[in-house]
Amino acid sequence: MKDEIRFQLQALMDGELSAEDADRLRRQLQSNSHWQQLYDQLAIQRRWEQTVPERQFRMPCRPEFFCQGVMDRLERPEQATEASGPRGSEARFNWKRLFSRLPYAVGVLVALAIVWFNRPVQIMNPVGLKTVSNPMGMIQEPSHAIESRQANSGLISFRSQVERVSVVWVSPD
Amino acid sequence: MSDPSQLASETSWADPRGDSELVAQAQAGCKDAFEVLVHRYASRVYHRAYAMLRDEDLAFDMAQMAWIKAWQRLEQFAGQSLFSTWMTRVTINVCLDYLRKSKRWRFDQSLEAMQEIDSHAEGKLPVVDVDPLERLELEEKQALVDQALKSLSDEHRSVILMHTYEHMTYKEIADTMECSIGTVMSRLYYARKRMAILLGPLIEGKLLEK
Repeated sequence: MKDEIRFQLQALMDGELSAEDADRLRRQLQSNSHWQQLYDQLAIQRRWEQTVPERQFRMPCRPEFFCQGVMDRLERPEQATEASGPRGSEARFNWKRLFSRLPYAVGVLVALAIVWFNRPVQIMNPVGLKTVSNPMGMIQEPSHAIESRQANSGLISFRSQVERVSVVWVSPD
Repeated sequence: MSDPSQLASETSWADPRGDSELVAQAQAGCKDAFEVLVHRYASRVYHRAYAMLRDEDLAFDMAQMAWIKAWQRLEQFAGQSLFSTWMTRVTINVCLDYLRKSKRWRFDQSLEAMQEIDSHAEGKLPVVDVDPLERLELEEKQALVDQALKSLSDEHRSVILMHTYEHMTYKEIADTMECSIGTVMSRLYYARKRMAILLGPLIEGKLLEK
């Protein structure tokens, strides 16, 4: 059976056909048992639909709270305007909102870039002592400090708090 | 099945003025009159929103939205129908608008695609208790119907609600859903078919033809 026939039978049952179309279809029904069977089934279901009333859903809060919310939104035009673009607009891409937030996004990206390029890295100097620097080339406070210096003997000792070692440097001079 | 607390709340807001008088005052800009209408039909509006969306928070939000829309469009209400009917239609429109804009709505469904979805979904439908209809109390019957409605797609559920409970004609449903009458007929047929499969044992054991 074609869908068109099914829909026509349903429309007949729902009283949606013109008198002329309804009469024509009723005549056809009498001569077609298959159609008549479907029509009877649809009619049973329709009677059943009409017999059982719809379940009622109660508000999760007292109606006063709901009403107050409505009136508050009406009092504040900006909220009422938001209401005209409901949560359903989430699904729609909002270019205006994007452009209004673009400067903030750029700022965040710049800040992240600065943090990234200033992250501390350790590089080795020619004498094997670690110097703290960063990818932008700015030398930072060394992690090692001169512990003592003896000018007459040419000895300099370093202590690194990070590495927890002491290095004694003997000057070739 | 009115909730006593809500009923008490509504009666406490009982106002001797009729809807038409309140609407006229609200159309003139009186928010107090509008507030009485909100109190009077808040539960009904929420009920319709929840019945369509099946999400408590969303229904609450959309119900409030419906009242705001109603306030904004109140001058369009010409009194040709009851205010409660008009308000229900506004609620349905707001909910459909949400569904249309969200990913939940598949507007590009062809009739064939809908049939295919139906045939695939049938195998996944929940099994409904098979107690005879006569033995079930009203609440149980309602719960079963509700369970079946809940399992329908948004568009199928919407068309059933509008036709069965809001008594809207095919033309009115088509206008509201922004689709053709043929699409309404198709959606209604397949929604009923699905309901018949879900509630088959209850509907005198007679299923629609497969």
